[in-house]
Amino acid sequence: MAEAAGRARLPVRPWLDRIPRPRSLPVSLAVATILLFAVLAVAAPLIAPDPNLIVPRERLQFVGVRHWLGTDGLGRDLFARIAHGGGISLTVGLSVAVLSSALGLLIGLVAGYFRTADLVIMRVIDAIMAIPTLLLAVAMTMLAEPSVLVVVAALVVPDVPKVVRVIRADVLSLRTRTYITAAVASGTGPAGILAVHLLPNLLPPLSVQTSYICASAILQEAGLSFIGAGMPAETPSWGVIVAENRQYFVSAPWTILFPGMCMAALILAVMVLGDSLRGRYGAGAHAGP
Amino acid sequence: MPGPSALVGERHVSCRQQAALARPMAAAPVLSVRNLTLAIDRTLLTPVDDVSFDAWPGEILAIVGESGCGKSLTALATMRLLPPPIVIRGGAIRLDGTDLAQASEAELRRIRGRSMAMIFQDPMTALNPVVPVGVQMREPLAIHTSLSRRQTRARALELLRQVGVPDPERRLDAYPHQLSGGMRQRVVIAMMLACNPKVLIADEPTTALDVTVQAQILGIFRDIQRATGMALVLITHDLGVVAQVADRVAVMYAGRIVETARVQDIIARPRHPYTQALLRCARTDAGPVPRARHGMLPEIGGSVMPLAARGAFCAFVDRCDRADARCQAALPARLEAAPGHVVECWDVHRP
Repeated sequence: MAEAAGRARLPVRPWLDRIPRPRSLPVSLAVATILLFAVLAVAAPLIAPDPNLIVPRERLQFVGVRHWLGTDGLGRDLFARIAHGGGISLTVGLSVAVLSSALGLLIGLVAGYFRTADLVIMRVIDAIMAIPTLLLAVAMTMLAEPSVLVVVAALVVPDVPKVVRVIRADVLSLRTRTYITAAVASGTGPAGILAVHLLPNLLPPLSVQTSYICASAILQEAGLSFIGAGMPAETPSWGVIVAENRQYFVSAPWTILFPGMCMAALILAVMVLGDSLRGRYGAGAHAGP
Repeated sequence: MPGPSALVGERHVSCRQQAALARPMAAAPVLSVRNLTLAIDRTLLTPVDDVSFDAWPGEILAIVGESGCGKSLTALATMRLLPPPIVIRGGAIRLDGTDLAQASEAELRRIRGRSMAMIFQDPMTALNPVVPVGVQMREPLAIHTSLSRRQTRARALELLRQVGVPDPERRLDAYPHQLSGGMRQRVVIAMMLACNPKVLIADEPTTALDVTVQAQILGIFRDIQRATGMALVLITHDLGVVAQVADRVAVMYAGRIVETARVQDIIARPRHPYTQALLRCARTDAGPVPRARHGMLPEIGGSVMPLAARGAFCAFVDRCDRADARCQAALPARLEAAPGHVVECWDVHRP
């Protein structure tokens, strides 16, 4: 009886079944928004003019057929610049999210599982957390040539400690579980415990954390670019676009409204996605006891 | 239930079965614990004190005692898996001549899961909820043998069949929460048997299961143990389980083994006052439940002496109706009251 019921529920393709699918309208919209920006960034060279082409005759034009989202103070096509900027935002957001998650996961695992390493690692983490993000980023862009790489590095450094703390806390609680003791009792060494038993438990909370880091990295890149400590001035990053056009705030508000709205939309989309992950995997949503 | 020959890897059948048939076969116990004392680190408190027992190949040794008597700690210490504040203060744990109490972490890793395995009380928590059962079952095989992926899968299937899991191919891909409690405990047992251990320590393996499943699991233990000739150390507080499957019994009270004997001797002729009282409480088949005291079930008066109050005297003294001055003055000496029947009680020393 119990067997029959169990059989009916057994997954035929467990891994395929675990791929998250959009469950609701907001999540579908979020996925669509992210994909839209990705497609625009890739397709921009084909459907829009050069984002850096200066046409003084056509400066500060409103939305029209020739320039879909108008032009900025130098007569550059805003649609092209925003599409290009979306690519930068997504690149920075994803790179920061993936890099800081991977590094944080590795360091957090070691810190949580090995007691002696924990003492050293957590002091270093505390030290990094004491450095203000903005100060670090400004210092790094001053020292090195401004580029995507430098911005990503400047954002990864302060984000790694956040991941480390989450992962370490989870490892500390997981390592006392009976199944970890049982694994040790069957001769599994530290590497096996970490890879086979702890990692699968950590991926769900990590994926939630990763999505939030991605959203905050997009916002921070724009912020850094806005104050001139991020992307180089000629690059059409959303922060740069807003910074360049803030003097036309009254006469041509669309020049900062459109990039601002795009930024809000993309960050909201990433956050919604993160929330749906939390709903799936977050507190109390673990499979089994 | 599969026949005994299906219960072990084919290569091992002949020699192990011969060994199992020629009982009492072995000249030496496979696991020999001597004067094991566990302490809470940086204190003088010893939750397990001077415990000695032997597990012989092909026998089931039951360690019985009430909650908190130290039987689980003894089991964990035998595997060298003690949780942090508890440390081994003295004694030896000899497995085939190797003293595990002195062994390094690397040596222990080679021994755990291969020579000696352990089953935990709650099958709900002994399996990782996010890892498919098959992956977990193949772990010990991957560590201790040089079998290929396909071979470990075949071995896992064979093991699942041995412990009576229907449709094992599908179970391998299932997650623990998709299996019932009894099924999960079968998986755990199969996992621990993967490398044909010489000693299997089972810490209350049936406590979390209902009675029918409990009987099935005990049956599996009996069959496998008969077929492989491994020694099974069964930690339990259930005298029914003991009577059903055990060959020998060690009774623990307040961190010490107070009586060791063959199961029929313990049940027919318990010597230690605690064992006697325990059996009086459990035995309802010996007659109608006594109704004299307002229909109350028999019990042992008083409560277990707190850890900090124990000392160089019998810990059962304040609950014992035969206690005298000597019991207050010194720990009772061990006495072999009958062949193979060892008791720690001053009363037994009386002529």
